[in-house]
Amino acid sequence: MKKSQIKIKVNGEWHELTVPNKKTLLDVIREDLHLTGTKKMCDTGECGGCTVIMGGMVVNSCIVLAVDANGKEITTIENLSQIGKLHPIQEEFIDRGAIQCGFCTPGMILSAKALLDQNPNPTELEVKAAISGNFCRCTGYVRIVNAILSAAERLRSVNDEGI
Amino acid sequence: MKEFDFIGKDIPRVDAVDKATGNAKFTVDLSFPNMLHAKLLRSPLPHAKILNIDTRRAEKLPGVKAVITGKDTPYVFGVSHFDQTPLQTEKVRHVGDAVAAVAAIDVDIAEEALRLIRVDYEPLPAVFDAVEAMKPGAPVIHEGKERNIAAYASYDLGDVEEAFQKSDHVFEDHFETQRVAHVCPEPHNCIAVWDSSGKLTFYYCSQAPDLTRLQLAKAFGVPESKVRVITHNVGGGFGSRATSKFSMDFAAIVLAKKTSRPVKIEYTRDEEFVYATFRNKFIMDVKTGVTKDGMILGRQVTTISDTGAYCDYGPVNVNVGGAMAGTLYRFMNYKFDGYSVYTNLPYGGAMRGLGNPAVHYAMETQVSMIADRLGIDPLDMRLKNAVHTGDETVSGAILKSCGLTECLEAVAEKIGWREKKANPKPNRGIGIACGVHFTGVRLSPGIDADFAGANLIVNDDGSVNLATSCTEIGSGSNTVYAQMAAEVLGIEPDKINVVFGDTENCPMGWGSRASRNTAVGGMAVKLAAEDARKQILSAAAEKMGIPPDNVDMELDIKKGMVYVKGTPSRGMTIADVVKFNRYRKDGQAIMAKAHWDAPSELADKVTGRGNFSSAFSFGAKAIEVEVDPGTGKVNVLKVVASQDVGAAINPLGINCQIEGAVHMGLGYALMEEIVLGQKGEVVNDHLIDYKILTPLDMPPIESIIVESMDPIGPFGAKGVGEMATIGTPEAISAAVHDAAGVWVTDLPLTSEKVWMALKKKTERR
Amino acid sequence: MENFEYFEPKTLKEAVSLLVKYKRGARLLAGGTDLMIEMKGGYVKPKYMINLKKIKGLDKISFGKKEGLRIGALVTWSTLLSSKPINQYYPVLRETASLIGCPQIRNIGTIGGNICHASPSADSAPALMIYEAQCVVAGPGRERIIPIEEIFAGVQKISLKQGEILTGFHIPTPDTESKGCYLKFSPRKAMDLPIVGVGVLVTASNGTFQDVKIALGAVAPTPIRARRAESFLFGKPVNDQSIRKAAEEAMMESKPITDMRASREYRLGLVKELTYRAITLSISKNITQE
Repeated sequence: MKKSQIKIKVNGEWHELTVPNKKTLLDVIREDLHLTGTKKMCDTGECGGCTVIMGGMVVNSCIVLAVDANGKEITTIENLSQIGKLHPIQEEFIDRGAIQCGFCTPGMILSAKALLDQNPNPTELEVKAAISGNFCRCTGYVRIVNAILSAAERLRSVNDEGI
Repeated sequence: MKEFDFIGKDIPRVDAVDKATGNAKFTVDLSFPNMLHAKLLRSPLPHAKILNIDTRRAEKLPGVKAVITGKDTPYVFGVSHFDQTPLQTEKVRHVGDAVAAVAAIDVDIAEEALRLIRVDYEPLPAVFDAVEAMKPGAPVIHEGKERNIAAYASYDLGDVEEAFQKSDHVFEDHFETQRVAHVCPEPHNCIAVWDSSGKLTFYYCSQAPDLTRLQLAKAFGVPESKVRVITHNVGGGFGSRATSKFSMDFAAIVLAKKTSRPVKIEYTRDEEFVYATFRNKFIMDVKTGVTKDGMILGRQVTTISDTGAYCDYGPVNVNVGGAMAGTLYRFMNYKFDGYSVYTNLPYGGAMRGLGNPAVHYAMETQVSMIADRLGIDPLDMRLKNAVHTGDETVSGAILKSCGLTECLEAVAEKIGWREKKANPKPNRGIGIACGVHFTGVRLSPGIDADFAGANLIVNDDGSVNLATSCTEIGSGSNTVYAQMAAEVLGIEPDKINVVFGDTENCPMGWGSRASRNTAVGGMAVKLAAEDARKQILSAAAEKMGIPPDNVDMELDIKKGMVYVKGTPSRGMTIADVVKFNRYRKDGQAIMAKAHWDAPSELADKVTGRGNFSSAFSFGAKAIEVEVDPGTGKVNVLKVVASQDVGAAINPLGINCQIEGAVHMGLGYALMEEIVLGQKGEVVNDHLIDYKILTPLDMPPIESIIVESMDPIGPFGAKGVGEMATIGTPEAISAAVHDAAGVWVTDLPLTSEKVWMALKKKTERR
Repeated sequence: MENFEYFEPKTLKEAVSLLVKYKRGARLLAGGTDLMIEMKGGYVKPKYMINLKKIKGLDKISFGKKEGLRIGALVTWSTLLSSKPINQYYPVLRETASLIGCPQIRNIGTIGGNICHASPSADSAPALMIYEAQCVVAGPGRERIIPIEEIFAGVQKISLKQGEILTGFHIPTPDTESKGCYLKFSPRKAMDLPIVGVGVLVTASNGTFQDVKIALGAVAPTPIRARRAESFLFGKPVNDQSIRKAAEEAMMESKPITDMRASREYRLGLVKELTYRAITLSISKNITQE
């Protein structure tokens, strides 16, 4: 049998799927669930374009087998803005010029989220380390780092229950 | 700059929300019902005759819907030289040259089918080096191209020999730059769809949908009205998508026609490294004559550029390098000989700056070397030779605005040039370099045009639909257009919906290349907005009973209100004006169109001189490094980059472009390089071994905007994106010499090269 | 990528019998950071994929001052980074983990996977070698203990027999006086392989070297210990001259090649320079402690 039945919780919703064993989590997200925000940038785990949060940690979904993600909770970029309200990280990215072509942006934002969930007061070096696996060809990372530091400051100073 | 409401403001990108939420669609995200996936069969040999191709077994594989070979794609294409066909029939000229294509229900079956296609090759001798390829007896790659010279560009202006005679010193130096890849985040991809009326819709991550459309209409013999090219958001272009010029484009279209189904082709990342073209390798010899106090009297440049198996933008790159080498300083004696040479390698193409970054690397490193040899400060030498506003350069460029001196002085001040030069620290050094690039360009011989278009419609509610011929490839052009239109019309930028990338709904233009978006595309937008404004004011005047001759004197528009100057309460909303104008007998819409051809000229056929761009952007970079003598590692401590942009429409956007360009420049300078194997195949076609800088590798960058207020550009603006790519490697070369006393004159400046240079220096003592 | 049958054994015994049954057609899945790339590139085409992550106990870390450290093969780099005993007693291992890949890779990449991939430049090898780790191997027969150096059989070749699985490492508690570091020389500060990697653990007292371990990565078909350099230093005075001579010895013991990343000559130079720096750095840590 080269197919398996899996159950994955993506953005709060359970999905039951039958997938070829070799299918990656990235391909399931993009093709089966039609969530195209997560990007296929290299497909070999070398660029971070396909970053999702799985079990609370960032992973490159292109090198995670969908069968290996069975039972896991996954967050993609589509889940970050809730009820039409942007997450502060997204707002800071927009306001501070951290987005150019936008292809690396979803992965970058999720890496930022995972960092700030763990470490609400990161140094500039810690921010750079957190996104060190997310490649960008347009920005030189300068504004991205600034945006993440500003978002951290905003999140620290606001008591946000729902975000 | 005078005070504007929206010009000169840091307005966030109009498309940023979509991109931040993952909603922004890229071509690669698209999928259609009944769609097939295609793959190309590529040659394993660098140079071989094709004896036979047998596709029968592949055709029989379940899931395969069509297989095509060169006989199905009898099209010739190229950029300046039409030397390519999509699928080869006679011979292959590089590892990876395409010979067949398969469309199947999924990629796996398509790949399996490729393995079932049998191709019989007769290997031919191959050559992988441009200098070797030019020698007598070298394998001939294209019939009729003697010594494999694809193209030759030359300038012979003034009298260099006389200039050298008059010089106190004549210096000759050799430089080499490497092949680098664009590394566009979105790999190349396209989807071809034919409808039953014979209309082709081609979804493509294009920088210039109209050029794609023209090329395809011509190639397939379809009326231009029946070819529609649609580009959504583009995940990076950097020149690799400036025209439709890949085997995969044609293959997808032919397969779609054959199967009557949509066909999608997507490059994998390793294919993107090899088959999306790269910056050509340049070998350059620069000979410069100077007075003893550093005045450049004449310069001679010879360059051999390896264009690979096909020309693509190769000859254009050489031509651009040649033209720009005569545009930065005031010397009037200039000779250039540039060869674009075929080799049996995957071919290069256009990459941000074309041939300019390579040629600048050579020229500007040499200026630093000469300054060092003469005992002159390299900043002072540049200031002494710098061009100024009003100059006509030896290349024929007329500099209607030039902020070169200001750029040099700005970076020198910011980095602490004088102080650091006076107080050198061990293993630390600073370097400076400057450059020039064009804003839109007329360098394709015979094509006397460089235009953009804009169509503007004012809606009933006062909002605007603005269609542009330029493509948003991530550089922020849509935002700049919204700002310009908003400023002219007196409405908020968020009321302007910028539409791009659909040749059926957008005016025609050359797209987003040659740094033309802001100035050339923007001028079309400004002209269309001005026309619409006139119409609004005229209709409002009619409604408000103001005589037509008094319109400009009496009326103004702000925040969507047309009002009487001096009596702001007396007026009407734009929305009311539009409705008044439309909903009545013989009513009219408020809509405008503009077509702007940038005022530049083609080069003179004999001399090669010409004012080939309507404006020239200047810039400078000052960089501080620390060299680790034990390992040769160059640690960049700080980059200061300045750029004369004419006028900053969106300063935030400009700084963003500069920072991104510095990232590319640092890669070019220090670690990016396409590495080739024994058969001319790319061996580092993956992101671990093709190294772009990670966030942890980036030094602090300070960018400084200089505004020289160009008289032609909209609001005074000039181009940004490519000039910013120039200067980083040459400033680093100079800084490394300042720190460690060695010149490394071939890029990239890897730690190994620096270490070897230091070792040689120690051994010489 | 070719498709395969997929298994999630719940016990080591089950995993071993699957391996024995399917022989060379089977591959073990740990983090997958290397395996997935090999599979996508078509270099490896397993027909049977055995996911080890459902087997309890393979991702545990336990430490006792007497017993030493036990790390399960499936411990990820992120887990390793947050381990208190590793931070305190095996700082070079911690330093190594922080230099690997990036967060996405560290979250799923495992120490066992890194060793079993057996790259000559495996980042984890120098640290494990200087701490003299023992590899614990389960298989159809009895459990085996293999010293870390002996687990490498060649370039990307591991000396495990058919049906064997690396289950973890046992690392003795280092001398409390010992200090060390791992110097990874690569063009980039993240997402990179070492051109040369040097791991060093030094114990010195009364101004003399008592015990030195030097491990080199990326300069031979497998990671190696520079034993002649180590022996040379024993009993020598802690001074610049000894350290330079030792670095020279280490350079001569290494056998680097020229490849697309660096030339042989450069690698030799780096071994010498980095060994010198690693020992000097470690010694300076030593002195400050006293």
